[in-house]
Amino acid sequence: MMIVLRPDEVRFGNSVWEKVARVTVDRLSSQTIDEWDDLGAHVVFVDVGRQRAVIRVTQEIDGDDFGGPIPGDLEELSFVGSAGSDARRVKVTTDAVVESVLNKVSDYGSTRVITLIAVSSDGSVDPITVS
Amino acid sequence: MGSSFKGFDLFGSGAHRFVVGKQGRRLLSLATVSGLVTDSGTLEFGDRETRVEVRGGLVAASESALWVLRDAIVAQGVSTVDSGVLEDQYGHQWSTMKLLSFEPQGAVVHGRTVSLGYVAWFGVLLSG
Repeated sequence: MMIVLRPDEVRFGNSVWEKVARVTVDRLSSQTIDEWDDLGAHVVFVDVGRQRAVIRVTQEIDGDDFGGPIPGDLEELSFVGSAGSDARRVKVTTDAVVESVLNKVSDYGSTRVITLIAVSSDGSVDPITVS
Repeated sequence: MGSSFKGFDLFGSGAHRFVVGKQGRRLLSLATVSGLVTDSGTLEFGDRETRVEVRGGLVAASESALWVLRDAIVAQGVSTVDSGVLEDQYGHQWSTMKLLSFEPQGAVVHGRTVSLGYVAWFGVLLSG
């Protein structure tokens, strides 16, 4: 799992997403294998056969906005986090597909949450690259 | 204690469970035998053959290693292979058993390990 608050830059293809408050990366199992044998009540084998990395980008929206990505869009997503110094800058890169775009509007401000699913190049390679 | 068939540890790579099939008299309705639905009654023809199901998962470190495990099981299901003793994890034994069939359950799972669910049916046949 990964949490980056106030990333320095967030890019999705050629687009730069402004005023991003946070980016989170969750790792979820889509197929959990669990097995019991005859010797007792407790599970003796667990593996994850399918998994997905879910990325959520939370943007602050100040005014009218007519843009934004569309579900199904596939681009390279990158964001840069720094823990207060250039020496500790970390860049995260992945190919990702937009799953949903949700706007939340209130009297205290508006946000847009873009949810993406990371895509691996061949299924065996972790789609998230940290450099 | 691990399970075995003819002394071979066929299923020990992963978790597995034994299920004993239906036991008792082998019954058939008279109507089925005669073809007349008006015939009432049930006939008995000896006893049911013993059936034992082993259900579990084979677990290996690689795809090729998994094939070694499944090939070892399938080799016992060939018609020319003799019967032998099937033993569960508690040491209970069934004699003159043959591997009747081996059926993978779904696709091979590539996670931390390479695994495959299966059901293997064992039974006693008249051929011994």
